[in-house]
Amino acid sequence: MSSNVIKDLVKKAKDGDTAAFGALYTTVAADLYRFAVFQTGSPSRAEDAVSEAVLLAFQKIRNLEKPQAFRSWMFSILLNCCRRELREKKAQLQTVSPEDADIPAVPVDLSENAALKQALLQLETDERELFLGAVLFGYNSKELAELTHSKPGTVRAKLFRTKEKLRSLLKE
Amino acid sequence: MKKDPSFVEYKKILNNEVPPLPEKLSESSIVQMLEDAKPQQEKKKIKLFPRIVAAAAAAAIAITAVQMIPWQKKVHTSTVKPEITQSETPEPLSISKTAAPLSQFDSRSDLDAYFKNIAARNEADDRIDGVFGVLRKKSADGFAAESVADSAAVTNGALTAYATEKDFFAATGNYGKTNTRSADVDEGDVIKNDGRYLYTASGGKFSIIDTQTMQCVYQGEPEPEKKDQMYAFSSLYVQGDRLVVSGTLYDGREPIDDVYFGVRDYAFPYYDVMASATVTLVYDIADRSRPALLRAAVQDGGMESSRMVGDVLYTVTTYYANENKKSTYVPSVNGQEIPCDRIYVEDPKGDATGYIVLTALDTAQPKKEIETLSLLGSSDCIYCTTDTLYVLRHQYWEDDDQVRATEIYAFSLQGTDLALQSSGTVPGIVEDQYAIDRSGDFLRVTSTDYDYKKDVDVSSLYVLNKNLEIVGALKDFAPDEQVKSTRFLGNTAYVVTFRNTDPLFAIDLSDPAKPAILGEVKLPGFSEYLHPISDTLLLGVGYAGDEQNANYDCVKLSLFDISDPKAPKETDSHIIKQAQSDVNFDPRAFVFDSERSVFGMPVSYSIFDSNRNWRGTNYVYKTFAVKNGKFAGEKAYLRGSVDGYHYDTFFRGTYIENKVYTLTESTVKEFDMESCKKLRTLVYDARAEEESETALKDDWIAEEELDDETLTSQTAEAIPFDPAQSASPVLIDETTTALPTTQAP
Repeated sequence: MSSNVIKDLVKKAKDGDTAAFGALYTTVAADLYRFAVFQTGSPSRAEDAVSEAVLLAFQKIRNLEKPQAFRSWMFSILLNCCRRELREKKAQLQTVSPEDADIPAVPVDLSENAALKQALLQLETDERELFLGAVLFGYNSKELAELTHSKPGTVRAKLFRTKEKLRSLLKE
Repeated sequence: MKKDPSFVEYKKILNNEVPPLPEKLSESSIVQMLEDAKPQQEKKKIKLFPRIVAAAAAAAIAITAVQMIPWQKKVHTSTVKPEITQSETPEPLSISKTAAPLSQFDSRSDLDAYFKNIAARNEADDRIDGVFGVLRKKSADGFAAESVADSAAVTNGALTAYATEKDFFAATGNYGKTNTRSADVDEGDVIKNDGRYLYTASGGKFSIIDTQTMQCVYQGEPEPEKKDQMYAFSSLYVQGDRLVVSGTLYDGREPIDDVYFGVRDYAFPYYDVMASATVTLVYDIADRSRPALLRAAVQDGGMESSRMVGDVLYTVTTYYANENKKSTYVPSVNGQEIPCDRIYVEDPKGDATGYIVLTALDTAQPKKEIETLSLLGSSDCIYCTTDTLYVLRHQYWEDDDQVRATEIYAFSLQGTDLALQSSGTVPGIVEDQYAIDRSGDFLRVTSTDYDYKKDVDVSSLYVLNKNLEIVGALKDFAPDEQVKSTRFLGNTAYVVTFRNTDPLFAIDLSDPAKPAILGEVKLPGFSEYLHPISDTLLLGVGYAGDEQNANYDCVKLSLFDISDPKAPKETDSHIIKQAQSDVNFDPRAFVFDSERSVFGMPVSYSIFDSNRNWRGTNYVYKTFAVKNGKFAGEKAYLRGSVDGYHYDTFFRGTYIENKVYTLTESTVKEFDMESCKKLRTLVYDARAEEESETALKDDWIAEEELDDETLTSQTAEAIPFDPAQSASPVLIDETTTALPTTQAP
């Protein structure tokens, strides 16, 4: 999908064309859901967060001046929906023990994946946000800084610490 | 797992972790959810800008009505032959709403008073809308002077250097030209082809590529005057040895905070469309490797569109004044404020703070003064004939009988002389320049209106006279249908509508007072663009779908036999699945070779993995031959694939003789037209190439993960492309399921 196609679909979506928004959605759906699952620690909450993000995005798509930014714009909306989801359900991840989190059983359960899963849940919410944003969405530190109201340097430092933390968690 | 898993490995693991999307989050469920969530009155989603009622009493503004430039003043001989031979002049119909006469301000102080009144009313209404104003910065004035002086010396030397090669140029044969609305009016585009050289514009760069040596002979990246400014070139013109590069000059600004979330709405620092100017650079390219800048012109306002007739470039920009800031009241051209007598206003007590700024620049005499004309308002679309430029403006009102309308302003063009000629209004929205057509003294338009009481769309065709009064109308010719595309061919209009039965109509216009439906053909889906292949054959490019819904995940090509306009027939159709094409919204991406009866278009395929997760895009340039009213062979020229994180700024194709070229902002590929074999590749912008084809390359992960093969699109290049297997796109990785391929007959 070229940026022009995205632009055209955004234009159509701005005119209320739900099918056009659907086509845009397919380009980010998997990453949104995946991010939400890891961020909220629950497929059902992830489902709610993504649905909410999509509804909001469709309502607000007229504010999207730069169609090429659709992807990151969706991500920024989801980020806030996940935060709210976590707040509302009083389910700040640090209070949920990894055993309680209802992350689905993996079809091919590799032990290393389970380890990473557990390690992820032991991260702070903001650390996980940055980590998943970097890994799943491919954002660089500058973009993540924009998204999280931070400075690129801070993001880089945080990410570095997060990686260190994960590394030590995985060694355990 | 390694002790220190890289980000890429994490990504792989996490990709494996999550189950496929639940049903509730599938595309169809999401669309349904959005559909259900729409408020009732929003079902049709009309943009409503309530007419603002002046709250505070406004100080009297002295306004003098100005006489319209009479039509007779137009001396410029039109090449368009009047096709309508009606002897009687049809009378304006009662539905014809005469547009308010345009007036001018007596003096600058009256103009200032106009804006001050807007500011006062806004304050009284407690709706201080600073969006336009606060963010506006002074545009780059006086940009030109120095650089022009510098280049003058270079020009003289350069002119002689090219003289010997000139003969080759004259002998140019068959090559792809920009697909324009009118044959004698050129349109700017991001790529241009002059039969030997290819020209591209992207971001702040423009490049000249010699297809003989397959080398980039010149790449220009002009420096904006200030550090936080940025050029975005969007249009090129090549006229002999003149190259015109124009685009918007953006002022950088901080992202605004989002009211709803309390966070920034946009992920990237971006550039303000309101606080911008449009720059036009005229180069002498007698020596293609050493373009010499002849003129740099700056006009306030973001680039709307431009056209070129002969050597004269007409540029339309939209400028927004801030009623709270006096210094922004009047737009400037080359640092000079537009004089009051060149500014028109429709409603001297109105609320318009936007300006349409129209300029004329003679590229053959680049030093000549630039002519300017301005109108308070905004523009949604322009249409240009050799002697008239029409600016169309969409209006949305909260009114009982008429909720949408398109205002049309006609400016007469005579070289660089500009004059406001007439203005008028038609009900409904005139979508694009293909929905409007001048023939002789008559202007024909198709529009889509919306009837609030009945909650239905209303498609209509109107004929207007030279004063832009409606003299003929074919109202509501397709119940509850929207006009999707129009093509005027002589005295017949072909109109595709969409919603219920999706027909193609042929409408007779030979009697301007009585346009009448000749015939129609119903078919699923709709065309977004119609192109005449021959006198009797019309091609439609659009979307497939059932009667109610469009399928935006495909491209549908239809051939219509129009030899008998009373009974148009669809003689052939072809659906490219899981694909999109720029032609659906930008006809300039369409290339037609009438000699071979072959047309070409860029196609991008979405690549999904086995879990229906979107993984990226595969770009293919496709050509289709048309013979005897049927598609007679399809060819695919592969550009390569790009992962989901990146998009090409543009992807286009063109041809010179027997070679096909695909172009992106970074790469040109040359193919043999017949065998589809790739002959040569030129990466002319390594930086852009890197950015577009490599994902996850970043400051903090660059050192560890770049070896990962899934992150680059080398796969597309590595697999030899077999033209015998035609349209099958090369996949980005082995997990990708095979895409459905379509074989040409």
